[in-house]
Amino acid sequence: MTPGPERADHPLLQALRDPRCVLDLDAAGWNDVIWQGRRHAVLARLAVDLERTGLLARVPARARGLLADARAVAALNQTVCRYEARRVARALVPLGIPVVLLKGGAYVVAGLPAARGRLAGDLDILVPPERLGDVERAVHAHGWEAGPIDPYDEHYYRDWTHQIPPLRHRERDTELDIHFTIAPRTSRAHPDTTALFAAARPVADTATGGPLKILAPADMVLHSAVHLFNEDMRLGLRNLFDLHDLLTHFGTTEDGFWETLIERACRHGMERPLFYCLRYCARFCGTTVPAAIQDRVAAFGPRAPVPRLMDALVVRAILPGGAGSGRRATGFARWLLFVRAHWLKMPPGLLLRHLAVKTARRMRAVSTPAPPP
Amino acid sequence: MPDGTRVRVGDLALPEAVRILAGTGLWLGTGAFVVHLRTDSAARAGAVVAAHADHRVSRAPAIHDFPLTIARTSGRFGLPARRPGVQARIDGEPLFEPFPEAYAFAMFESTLNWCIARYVHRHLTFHAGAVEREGRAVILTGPSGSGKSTLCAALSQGGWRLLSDELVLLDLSRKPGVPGIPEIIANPRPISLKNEAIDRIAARNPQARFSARFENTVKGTIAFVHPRPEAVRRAGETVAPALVVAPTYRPGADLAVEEIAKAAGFMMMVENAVNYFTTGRPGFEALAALSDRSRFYRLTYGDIDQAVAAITELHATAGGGGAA
Repeated sequence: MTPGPERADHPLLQALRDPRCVLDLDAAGWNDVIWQGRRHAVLARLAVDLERTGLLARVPARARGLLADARAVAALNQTVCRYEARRVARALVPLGIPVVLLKGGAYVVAGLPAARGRLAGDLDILVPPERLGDVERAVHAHGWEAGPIDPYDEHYYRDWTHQIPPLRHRERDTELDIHFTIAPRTSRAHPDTTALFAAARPVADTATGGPLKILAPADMVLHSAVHLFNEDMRLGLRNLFDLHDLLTHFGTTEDGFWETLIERACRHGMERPLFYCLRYCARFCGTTVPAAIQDRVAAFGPRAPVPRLMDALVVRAILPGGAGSGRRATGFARWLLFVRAHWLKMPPGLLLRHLAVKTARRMRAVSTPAPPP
Repeated sequence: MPDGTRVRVGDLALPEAVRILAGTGLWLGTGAFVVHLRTDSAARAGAVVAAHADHRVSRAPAIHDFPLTIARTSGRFGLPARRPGVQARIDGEPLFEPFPEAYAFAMFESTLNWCIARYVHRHLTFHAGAVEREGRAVILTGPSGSGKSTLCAALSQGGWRLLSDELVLLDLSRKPGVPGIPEIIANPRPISLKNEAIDRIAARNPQARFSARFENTVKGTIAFVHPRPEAVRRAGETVAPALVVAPTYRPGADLAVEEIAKAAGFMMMVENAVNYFTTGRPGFEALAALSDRSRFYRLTYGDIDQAVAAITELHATAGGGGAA
């Protein structure tokens, strides 16, 4: 596979790197930016950047309207996210335990630059594993319930992954994901959960008060990187720019950030995700990474020709572009990365068992006639 | 749209329109929106073209609100489709179950309404109709089947200009703190009439231009009344509302008009809003301003002429709107 230079030059990617690029767009270019931006959940972010740089007035009226549509959705989403965080805080205050907001919820509630225009879907929290039972009882008492789930899936979540099955609020229909660590238990990463809680910081948002915290900067980056590169490439572009924003923000506001990042990557067994994170942030988002750090992290990479192969897959799986045959390439690349994610997540014996169970279940589902439409 | 490439749909020769729709597609201005439409069948292309004769269209790319494709379903690996029919897609993603080809135009209309409800949040959108006269609008709101489309059709075939039938858009682009009432953006598109209402309007307004009839849909028989050229030409203009009427059609009923308190009117509008929560504070403030400046009425009718006369009178005495 040849790398897709057309994807690396996609007008959406250029606009996310430098909003001034939109001033050169023609109508077809705007259509491409807007619909790819929607598909990758980054349109509201671009809208905020255009407003902050004073460029919005120079955007054609119809495009401005479409950007406003995206901003309204993101604004509602963030309002809901903050509200849900407060509700979770209220449910868990009596337990007197640290509750750490993860991913989008953390960026939004803490007001980090990565939150601008971001769609935060479900709320993800990290709680001390030894208090999981108490946490589940407390959130259940406040309305979050487990959906119907079969015993195998329940066992899969609790014993092999890093979170319990997703909960849903019975009145508000919002999803809450409770994590007890930040990488699957069976994976090669081995997050030091005690260290995560020890370094976690109280969140600045006074409204949530109580026990809410966010991960320390280096841990936050590593969690985002391990999620993107070892688990799930859907919304990969959005998640890559999250990483870019986090690196850029903490790189300029936190003393010793880059050294700590390397040290924590080694402690959590997340050297490889950090390697990919810096490689693709620098390459596609234009992130400034100190040269000395780049050199040290280069040693965390896999041996040739694996990086080349990953480059080809990542370009297709997360960069915008891909109409027609390109869309099939995206699907295929994502499938290969999905297979890779499972390979990283589970030792071979366990993976075989898991695949056998899932295949058997799929066969049963196929042989059962579908209900009439 | 760039002027050099903009024409009326009706000015395109049909074979040419069919050829373009099957290829790069047309950028069709419909109501307040631009749809990039592509379709692979002459029959569907013909129906859409006939329905949009007065609308503006561009062959060169324009910035569009919705990229829509309506195409025959196909199976995997070149096999026949498991569910034969035609399917609407937005940005390549299928929207609904495939439908029979003959319903293409009706599907185009519902697909567009779905897209507006799903994607457009720069306006506060209501499930309602609206017509204008003397620079002031009447909003007709209420649940499906309440007879608001019938009144919309009757009014807009008389001395009124159609602003919208299914979805009324309230402009939220005005900066906060600027006084005045938020305005309705004209989004004139074909009016969908159901069952007996079709014949009643056809008998009352013989000059009305109708689409084909679509029988046996989930709502029964549907036919569309095309907006008049004047209304189409003024798509996108804004008008201040002065009056909100919630009609109820009941066969044989005497006319009854009852004013609704503003707070109750506000809540009625919330119930009929499509994106009240998504528009957040700007949506709330726009609706509050609308409620402050408009009057709300419940109107029960059994006779279209009586209802039209009553609305005309309420509108004449309502004041508001314009620069007020």
